[in-house]
Formats: sequence, structure tokens, C-alpha cells
Amino acid sequence: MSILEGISSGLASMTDPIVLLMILLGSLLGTLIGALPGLGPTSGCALLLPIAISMPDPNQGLALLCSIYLGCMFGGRITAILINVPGDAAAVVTTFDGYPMMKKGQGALALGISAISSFFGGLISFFCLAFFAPPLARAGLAFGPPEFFSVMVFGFAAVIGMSEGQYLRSIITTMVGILIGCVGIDVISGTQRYCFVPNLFEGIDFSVCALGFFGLCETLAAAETGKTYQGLGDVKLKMTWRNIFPKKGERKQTFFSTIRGTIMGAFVGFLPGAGSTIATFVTYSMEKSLSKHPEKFGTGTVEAVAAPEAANNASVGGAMIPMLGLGIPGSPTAAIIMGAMIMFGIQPGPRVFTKSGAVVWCCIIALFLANIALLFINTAMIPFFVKAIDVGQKFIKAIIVPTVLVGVFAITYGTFSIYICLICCALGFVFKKLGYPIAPFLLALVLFDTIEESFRQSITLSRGDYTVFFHRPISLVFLILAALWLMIPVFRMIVNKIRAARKSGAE
Amino acid sequence: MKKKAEIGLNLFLTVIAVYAFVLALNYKYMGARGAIGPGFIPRWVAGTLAVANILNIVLILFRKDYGKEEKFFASKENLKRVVIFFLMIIAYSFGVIYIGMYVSTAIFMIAVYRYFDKMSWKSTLIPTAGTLLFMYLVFTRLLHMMLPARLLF
Repeated sequence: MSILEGISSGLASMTDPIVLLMILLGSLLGTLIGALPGLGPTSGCALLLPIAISMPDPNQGLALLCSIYLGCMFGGRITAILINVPGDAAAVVTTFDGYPMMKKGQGALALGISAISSFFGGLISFFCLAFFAPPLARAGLAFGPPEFFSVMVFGFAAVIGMSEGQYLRSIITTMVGILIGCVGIDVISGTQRYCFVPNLFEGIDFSVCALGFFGLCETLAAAETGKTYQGLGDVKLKMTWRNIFPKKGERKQTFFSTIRGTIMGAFVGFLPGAGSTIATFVTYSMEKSLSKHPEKFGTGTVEAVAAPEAANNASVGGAMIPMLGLGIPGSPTAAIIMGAMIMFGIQPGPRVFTKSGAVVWCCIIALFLANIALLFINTAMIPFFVKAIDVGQKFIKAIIVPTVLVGVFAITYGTFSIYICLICCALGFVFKKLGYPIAPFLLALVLFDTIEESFRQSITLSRGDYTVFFHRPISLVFLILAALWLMIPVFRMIVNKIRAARKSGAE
Repeated sequence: MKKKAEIGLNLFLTVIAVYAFVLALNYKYMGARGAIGPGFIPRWVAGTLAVANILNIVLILFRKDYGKEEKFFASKENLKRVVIFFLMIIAYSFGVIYIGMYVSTAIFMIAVYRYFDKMSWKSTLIPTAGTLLFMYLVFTRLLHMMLPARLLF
């Protein structure tokens, strides 16, 4: 089946009103699930999988799952921006600048920018999925453990390199993150590391920590300052349609950030096992490094919202590429969709486009349509969201606590994670009060498993040769980039000194 | 005050790091044929964490003007509010585990609105009922999630 034939076949499947209804329903449900703390696309698709596979036509079931996947990606950012509670792990990065924008009275703009960037990120990655899935999937296979390790090192270097005078504090929070990441059974040797109780065998979930650090911690800050949610009581939340859409200057600021975020998101997305969380963190780090004003990151800058949001949604198309092209899911959610496909009798892999082309193209077109539907749904709902926060400020604090605890419970289906969340809340509060950067901590926690596994696999494969990372070209390129990224602050300092010297000389 | 708080945090993290390092000595540092053991990363990370914290303490002590004016809490009232609210969260968490999600949520929200924020009964009961209804409709009915249940639900 050629690409044009595939597109027409996918469009033909949209003539079924049930498929269209499933796309709309999936988009709405996905947005709701994504907005709920702790419930992300993986749990959303897993919870609704029984409904999807009970449908008589695979097109209907898969259209529902694909729309939920994308809807969650859109929904995760809503609470992240409005109340500093990330809906899912990938939305953690959006809190860094989205919530400060909300505190400045620009919540509607932050939501608008994130919706538009998410739309573009998704659109471009689905275009790649439709036209380049098989060759891109093969390219993804060129990434072995050394390459993975180098990409992760690059991510770390970008964050630590731009810590702006807080190197020691960044190192401390990074090490705390890695140490927490060490907890659990070592997947390679089976050794129990820091497993004081059986509940720790599986390690500490990143989302549980993120909900403690952001959700619960924010309620403590709110309790300290008074009745209104932290900072929001001081600003008038401006809500007109004009405020939702970025103005000319902001469009200019976010255009290239969105493009870069899309490329990085799609790229990280199609690496098997990487996922959207890593995509957003790496994109944020990259964007901060490339920015002319990195010091403004974390204070509510539009680029810092646009780039990770584009990456987040671009990773959906990216994750579907190896799943469809090779039968290797790029993310846990893609694995669930793959499971649903297998249950419908469709075997993802190199021949899926020829053997089950009609269903695959239906999925791709469903993602395109869901993307468009979600842009309209999310933009239309912004006034409602902002108004709800404006009116209900004094009630939020007590509503967040149960919502976060339900989310924490939903992640592991166990009550032990609630204790972990409480510890993270206390630690996050102290870090926040003392001005310790939280981004390196979370980055370390989210990347640690991949970085340790790829590092140890690389050394094992090379029989103890530590130079393996320099022998492989892709790995070498990323290591050089990481080194350059670490040097950026040094270069900046030298340039600033030269400029200052020239200025004083001229005077 | 902030200076003391940071030194306290660094000391606490140093103790944790040393303990983690000592525990990591029980895990293999290197495996067979040059492979890296499960103790390799924990040892390096715990060691670096301890050194970084000690270094930070030294730097803070050397800078005499560091955080002199800044306070960790603006007032004793702020400290009291944070401590009480955190204790309420802890009590609520235990309530979720031992009483059940819905009952403990109702008690927690009423306690926060009525006694912590001193709101009227109307402002207390409406959001509490709304939250419980939302949780029931979304988590229990729509998503079929099994929330912790002990008493009633």
C-alpha cells in the first residue's frame, strides 16, 4: 500500500461515525485523565483497554486508545500550569515556567501557548510517522547502550551546565536524585539495593516523588502564606480571548522553540524505552542552554513552556514509529496500544503496513484528527479553567491533597507510596525554602535507570573497555555536545568579561 | 536562621550519604569479565554527595554575611501553620490507609476549611461534597479504580 493509498484508506475509515465519536470521546477522556495527578497516558490507556478491545471493529478500539494517549499529553499540562501539580510525569517540566506564568497573571497565555505548541509538535511527528516510519524505525535501532548513555549524559550536562552559580547545590540535588534512583532491585545482578522493606523492591516511582515535590509541597507553601493558593491571590487573572493567543513578539519567541522541541521530542520518542518524560527534560535543558536569557528560565518564560510541550506531544508520534515499524514500543503507552493491536489480530512490525495497512492508517489519521480536536477542545476550555481557579483559589489547597493522594495510590496501587510522597513533600519544601534547584534532582531520578543500565551494558559488552563510548560515532557526537554544553557558561563568562573590558576601555 | 537551616540540611544529607556509602560496601563493586557491579554507582554517588555537602558547609561557614538577614520562616505564626497543616496531611494519609479514602477525605477537608482556614459551614460543606462526588464519579464509576476502603467505602 503506497502512502497516498494509505491516507485515502485512513480517511475512508473516518466515514464510520463510531470511529469519529471514539476520537472525540478519547480526546475528552484523555484530557481529563491527563489532568488528574498520577494518572498519565499509560494508566489511562490501561484502565480503558477493556472497553477498547470489546469493540467489534479494531478501528474503533484503536482510535479510542490513540486519542486517549494524545489527550493525556494535552491534559497533563493543565493542572501543571494552573496549580503547579503535574498531571503526569512528562508535565513536570511544564510546571517550571508554566506556574510562574500563572502567578504573573499569564495563566491563559501559558495554556494557549502550550496547546498550540502541543498541536504543532503532534502534527509534525504524525507527519513523520505517516511518511518515514519504516526508515526512522531502522535508524532507531542504531542506538545501542553506548549511544543511549551518551544521550543521557548530554541531558545531564545541559542541566548542570546551566545552573547559573548554583553548581554545588545542583550537584547535591543531582546526587540525592541518583541515590533515590538506586533504591530497588538491581535489574542486571538482582541485588537488593537499599531495600529496607519489600515495598522498595521495585524502587521509588518518579511520579510519586514529583507529586510530593510539587503537589503536596505547594499546599504547604499555601498553608504558610494564608488562605489563597501560593501567590495567586496577589494577581488578577486576566481572562480575555486575546490573552490566550500569543502576540507577535511571543510568537516569534516561541516559533523556533516549538520547532526544536518537536525535533527533540520526536527523536527521543522513537528511541525504544526513552519516553516523553525524558524528551521534555532534555528539551528544557537544551532550550535553556540555547536561550539568550537562561537566567529567566524558571521565572515564567514562554519558550520554556512551548518547547517541552511540543516535545511532549511530538514524542507520541515518535513512540509509535518503532512500535509500528519494528514491533518495538517506544513508550509504555505505545506498548499498551501494541497489546491492543495484537488482541485484534494485528502484528506490528516491518510488514504491518502491507498486511494490516487499513487499520494502521486509521490509527495515524485518528491521531491527526484527535490532535485537531484537542487543539479546539483545550483552547475552548481555557477560560473555564482560569475562571475556576480564580473563583476557587481559597478552596484549592484542601482539594489538591486528596487528589494527589489518589494519584499516588493509583501509580502503585499500594499505600506505601503515600509515605514516600510525604517524605518528598517535606524534602521538597526544605529545598524550595533554601533555593535548591529541583530540576537536576528530578532529571537524575528520571534518567537514572536508563543511564545506569546503558552504562553497565556498554561496559559489559565491551568487556570492561571504558573507551567504548568514544569508538562509536553517534555516542562520540553526543559526548562532544555534552562537553560543549558544560563549557557554555565558561564561554559566556569569558565573552562577558571581554565585553566589560572593552566597555571600560572605551569609557 | 537560613544559614543554620542550610547547614542542618547539609549535615542531614551527609549522614544519609555516609550511611548509604557504608551500605553500598556490601554490594559488589565489579562483576565478572570487567562488568560493573551493583555497588559501583551507589559508592561513587554516596561519596560525592557526602563530599559536596561537607564542602557546602565549609563554604557557608566561611561566608560570614551568608543568609544573615534571611529567615527560614517569616514568623512563628507561619511555622505553626506549616507544622499544623503537615501534621493534618500525615493524619489524613494514615486515615486513607486505616479508615478509607472517602471518610478520611471528608474529615480532612472539613478540618481544613472549618478549623484551619476558619470558613463558614456553607463554604466548608459545598467543596467537600463536590470533591467527594467528583472522586466517586471519576475514580470509582468511570475508571473503576479500587481506592483504599475500610469504613463505609
